[in-house]
Amino acid sequence: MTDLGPLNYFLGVSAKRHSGELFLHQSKYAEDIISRAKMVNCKPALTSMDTKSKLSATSGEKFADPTLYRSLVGALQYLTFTRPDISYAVQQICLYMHDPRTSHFATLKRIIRYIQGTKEFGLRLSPSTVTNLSAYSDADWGGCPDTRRSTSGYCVYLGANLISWSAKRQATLSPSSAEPEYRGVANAVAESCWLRNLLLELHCPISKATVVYCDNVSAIYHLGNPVNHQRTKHIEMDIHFVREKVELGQVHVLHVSTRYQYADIFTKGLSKPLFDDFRSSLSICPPPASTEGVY
Amino acid sequence: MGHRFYVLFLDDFTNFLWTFPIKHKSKVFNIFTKFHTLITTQFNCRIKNLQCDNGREYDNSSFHEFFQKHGMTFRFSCPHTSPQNGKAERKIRTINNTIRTLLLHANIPPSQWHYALSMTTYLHNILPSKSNKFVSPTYSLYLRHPDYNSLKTFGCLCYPHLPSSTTHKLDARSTPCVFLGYPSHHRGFLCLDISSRKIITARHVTFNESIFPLSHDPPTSASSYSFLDSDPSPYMTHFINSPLASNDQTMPPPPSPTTAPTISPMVQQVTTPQPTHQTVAASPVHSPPMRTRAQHGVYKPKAIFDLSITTSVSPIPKSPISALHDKNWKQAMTDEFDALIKNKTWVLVPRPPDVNITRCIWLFKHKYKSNGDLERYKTHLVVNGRSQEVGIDCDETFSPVVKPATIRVVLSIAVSKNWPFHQLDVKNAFLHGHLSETVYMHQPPGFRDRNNPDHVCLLKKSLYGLKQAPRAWYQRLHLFSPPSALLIASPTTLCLYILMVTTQHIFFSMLMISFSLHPHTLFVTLLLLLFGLNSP
Repeated sequence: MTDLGPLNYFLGVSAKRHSGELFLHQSKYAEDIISRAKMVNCKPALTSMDTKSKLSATSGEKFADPTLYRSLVGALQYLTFTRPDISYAVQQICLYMHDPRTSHFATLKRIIRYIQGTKEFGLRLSPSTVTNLSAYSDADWGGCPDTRRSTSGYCVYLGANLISWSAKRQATLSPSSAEPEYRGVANAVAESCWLRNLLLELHCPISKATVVYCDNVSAIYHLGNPVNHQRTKHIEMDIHFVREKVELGQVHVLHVSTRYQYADIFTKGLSKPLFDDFRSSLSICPPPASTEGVY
Repeated sequence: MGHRFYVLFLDDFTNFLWTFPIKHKSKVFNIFTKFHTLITTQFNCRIKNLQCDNGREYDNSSFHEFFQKHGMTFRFSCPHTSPQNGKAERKIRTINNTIRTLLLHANIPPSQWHYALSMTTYLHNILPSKSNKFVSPTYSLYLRHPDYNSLKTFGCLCYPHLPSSTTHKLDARSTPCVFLGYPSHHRGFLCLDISSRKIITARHVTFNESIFPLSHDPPTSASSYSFLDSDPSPYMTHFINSPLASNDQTMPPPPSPTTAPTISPMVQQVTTPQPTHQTVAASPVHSPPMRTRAQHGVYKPKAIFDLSITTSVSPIPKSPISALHDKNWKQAMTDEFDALIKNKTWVLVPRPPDVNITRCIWLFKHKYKSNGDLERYKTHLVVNGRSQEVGIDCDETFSPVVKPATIRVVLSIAVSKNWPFHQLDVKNAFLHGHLSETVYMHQPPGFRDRNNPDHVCLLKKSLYGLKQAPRAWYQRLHLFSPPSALLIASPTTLCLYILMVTTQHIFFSMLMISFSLHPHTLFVTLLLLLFGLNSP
């Protein structure tokens, strides 16, 4: 066993302490990915994905080198450790690992071009109170052009620090637009339940209720009002554990306008101003100005 | 400049000849690819077959790949059997005779032999021959008679018309020159200015074919040819500094470049040039005395005889047996083997009947420092997991890993409470795992026990490569309970461990990361009990 001293580099993640803050970044790993894709001199892109509709499984020719595609996608997946801003784009290209097409590879290259411009970016953990959990949950409705399933995403903050996030295509088809939102909130609540337990074990119990922000009024109404509406009969009962949490007062679901719905970044491609705004809200930022000598 | 060899390509059907002077035989492939392109473009047909001598300049991987890629067949003559390449070999004799005659007749310095070669090729291609039914190779190839009007004597006196850009308008408009043949890319004549030793390419030239200006110079001695065997530079530099002479590919002048060549279908089918090559210095008359490197004062230390010299890095060996012949690798393997023995990784047992014995592999790797220097030779003994069988010597292989969110939560709390972080690294972590399954392994190649050569290794601890190695390591850590302290494995979160020491907590998560809260000495001592700490 070797004593490596203060934490500075683990699992390909570099950790820098700077006036109380901790800055986690994977710039070296990002550079490795770029050189593995042979795109060292590529032009940077401003956002990780375009704002057009989602990828289709059968668009374009079959990609000639599926192994390269899979290896790069796997590498990008690990990069999301400190880069939630690319999770949605990576989730999209991950859907087609089994049969990559040229259009999927073009999307992959777009992500790498985005990384090229933001190699140094990382996740900032700043000192804050650790007494409240808040989550943002969002879903699109039937976004996947092949299966018409919805994509939902959430991010969970402990105080001001982003600690958990997800971008995932839902497993079931939803006839109403409120259902994927409802389901998304359930996912976010499930994650925050685990985090509450974890924090309890770490002797930092959360006394306040978890606040979940959702931009669908209908879903919020369903969560707060335990009536089995005619149109929501088909929703599986196991999702309704959220109602119980709401009833117990462990979870508050609040409405937030789409403009401030940070979880949007996990469900669709955004325009540059919105993307930049949400990215900074996820505390993804360039490295602090001076990292040398300050510890 | 500095050409020492030439390569020739001879079309079997038309007897048309292409020659290229070269500096080194290694350039032959380069020349051939260019020649192949030339044929493809000019005659719109493919080279189908190639006959050449058995030289290494042809029989190499570049040529083989090229032939395969273009679907060409090739045939080498058997060793010491030049008659199998007779046509080309005989042509070399003709060419050498002609070059010699041209050079001697005009008393041209030997260093200019490539001009004579170019002229020889030109002459050969326009001369009718008896073997070719009294038509010239040019006619056979282009179906057009060559133009004999511009034929002049090699090395004769000539006066090219110089442009009016001379220094003075009343200066002479010409200067005595020596005719050296036809330029490859111009319709004109190559003339060597006798006074300035420059090559002039001119269209309007007046010839006096009875005078050979260089014949007043002292006659060429045999030793003048020795440049073909030694460093050519002293002979080349003093003579001329010609812009054309630097052209590596002295193409034979096309008989009439103005009209596009037309080829009959018959010629296209059978155009199969035959190359060969020849060292020009092989003329028996002018054969120079043999000179060794030692006579030139060239010495090179022969490291092979000096056993103490180990300047070069030992390459990655192909097999453990060959590695044992290299002392660097042998040392590294011995170190690894001793470490495994010290770790009590296995015990030697007589081979039980009807058990699966897994194979093991030596892996070799160079470890480099950050500045690129070699740091050490690294060897690794790993088990070939593919030789394991599920249910016999491996069972569960799932090994939990830490969730990224767990790391972020712990870091986030630590940042908020301004706790210090500390990082520890368990070296060769997987070697610490205890095996619950019975796994037999062959003795490592090269380290077979002399007294018990037929014994096998019964593994006690896990080795890299075993399917259950990550799980064994996880179990080892998971079941570890330090004395007089309370280590709790988090029930909700895998790979997170919380150490309670009075009122202080130490968290660490697996994957060789640890986060310590208070004087880490306590924590280090704790793990020291388990794994032994190497550095302070």
